[in-house]
Amino acid sequence: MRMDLKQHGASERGQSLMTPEGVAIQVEVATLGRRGMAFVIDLTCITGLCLLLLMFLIPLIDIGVDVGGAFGLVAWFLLLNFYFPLFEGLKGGRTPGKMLTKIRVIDCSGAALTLKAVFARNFMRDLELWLPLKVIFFNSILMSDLPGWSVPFAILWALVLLFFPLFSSQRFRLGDLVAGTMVVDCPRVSLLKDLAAPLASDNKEEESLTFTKEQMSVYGVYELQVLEEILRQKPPPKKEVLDGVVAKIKGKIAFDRKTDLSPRAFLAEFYRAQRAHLESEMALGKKKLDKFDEH
Amino acid sequence: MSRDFQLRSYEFRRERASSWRELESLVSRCEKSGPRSLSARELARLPMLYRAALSSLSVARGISLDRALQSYLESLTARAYFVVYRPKERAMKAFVEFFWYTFPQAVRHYKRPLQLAMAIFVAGALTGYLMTLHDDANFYTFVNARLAGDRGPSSSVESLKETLYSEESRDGNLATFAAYLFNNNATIGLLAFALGGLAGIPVFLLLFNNGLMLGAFAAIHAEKGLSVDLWGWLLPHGVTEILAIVLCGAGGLGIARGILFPKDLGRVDALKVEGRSAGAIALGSIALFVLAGLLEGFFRQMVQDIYVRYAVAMATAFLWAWYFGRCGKGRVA
Repeated sequence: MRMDLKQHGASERGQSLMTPEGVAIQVEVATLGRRGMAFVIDLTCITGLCLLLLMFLIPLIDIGVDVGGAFGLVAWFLLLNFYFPLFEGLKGGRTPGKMLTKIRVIDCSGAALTLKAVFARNFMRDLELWLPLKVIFFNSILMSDLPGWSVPFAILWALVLLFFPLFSSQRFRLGDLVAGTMVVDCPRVSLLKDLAAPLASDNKEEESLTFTKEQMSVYGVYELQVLEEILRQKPPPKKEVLDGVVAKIKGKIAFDRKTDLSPRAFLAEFYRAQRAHLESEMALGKKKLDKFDEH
Repeated sequence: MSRDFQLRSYEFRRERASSWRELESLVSRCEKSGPRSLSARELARLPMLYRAALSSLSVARGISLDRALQSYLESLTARAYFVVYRPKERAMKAFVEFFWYTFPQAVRHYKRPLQLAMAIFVAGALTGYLMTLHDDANFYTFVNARLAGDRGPSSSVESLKETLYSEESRDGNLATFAAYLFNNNATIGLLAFALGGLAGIPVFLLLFNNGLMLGAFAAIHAEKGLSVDLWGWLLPHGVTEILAIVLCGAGGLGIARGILFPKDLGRVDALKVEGRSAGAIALGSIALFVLAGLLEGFFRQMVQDIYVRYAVAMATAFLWAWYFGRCGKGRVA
């Protein structure tokens, strides 16, 4: 019953930002999947806006189809090049797509994002995305004047540009490097209830568990937080699973007293006692990281 | 009961949770509908609550092993941080500021790349000019046949002249033509900027190539004694358009400078400094392309008088010389 704690995976995506107040904030670099999704959403918005504009404008001011087409061409160019930077610059690094996927653009140094930076990062898109795509899919037209052997090289080059963000752990695309920005997750985490809060049943005459110091010094922080995840799991794990966990803990800490607590109540009691113990140890400067940590 | 007193982290959280919740609701509203949706009192409380939450975070890291609490505080403070330290830019003010200060200043900062870009373009133009004069067949090496239309080394004086003074554009409609021109040029401009990301060599090629085309055109007209007419046709919009292409190229070269010669900054930091100025230049150049597109699409077809054409060309040249030389000087952006 070993669960993968997010903490371990998070460390490689984690970046810290130093605030002017001197406390570093941890942010996580957004995954490319999310960024891709945000981009697709934004592109859909742009296309929609463009079509909408044309549909309303052409009948409204009675312009012909060719003028309408030219107008559409310019509208498309302007939307494609200004939609991203204007949203990012004026909405705190978030386009509608980014808002939906809960990511945002930030300045790498933690300073406020400037308009200059967002324009720089978005103007690179031509080179990073559209040109490589053109080279890969339309190279027969685009490179008709060039000798045949140059095509594989051009495609290789296009692939390098397309997959550029994979080369850095911060998932910098070329535009991010040029502008000194990065894209991070900005999840909304709500405050879950404290598992160490005293239970209502505490007031009743119910048996409360006490553990000895030896029993408390078996596990460390890692196990405590795995237990926290089990207790917070939604939907709650099955009774057999909890029974298994209880049996394992009891065996490990040599807990042989008889209790008539439900497995869940036992785990809650154990969690509280263990956290109290580890936190008071921590106050003394001793942090036992996991059960292998000899402190 | 005594057990609960040991849990400092529980007490800690109980005392502060309401102020965290207050901050959370303010931040959520700010994220949704902007800081103007907050009252003056709330706006004043925001930074206080933010600092309190930040200190809670650093205490929590020291005393609490509650992961749910920690990740809540991490996310809350990060969100609040971006709200509290969001740029104070208003769209209109930023717009004026950009064109009055940022853009001309960025261009002045880019004197060297600009000179280099200009030199490459002129070298291309001279090469195209001389080689086409030398052998007419070279014309089609430099100029895409589609772009040249019916103009070429074999065109007669009359047909060339007709194009220079025609009141009809190729596509029949001036607005369409202007839009098409703008799109074409601005796309090339942005490409010149972005290619800087490949350390500059493609920028050289692009600028040189555009110079070649110009030179080749100039050559076939010069052979027929139409130089004065050609430049009168070309320069009113050409001054602005060529300047914009060269500026975008200079932006690209600036980025390349950051990559190749980072000086005492690290490469990443140097790139960032250069990239932001270059981005500003590319943005400003788009405005230049709009102007050039309008001049090219409308003015060129509507005004046939050669003196007026030259006057406009001179006027734009002076305008840009003043704008990039003087405008917004003496203010630190």
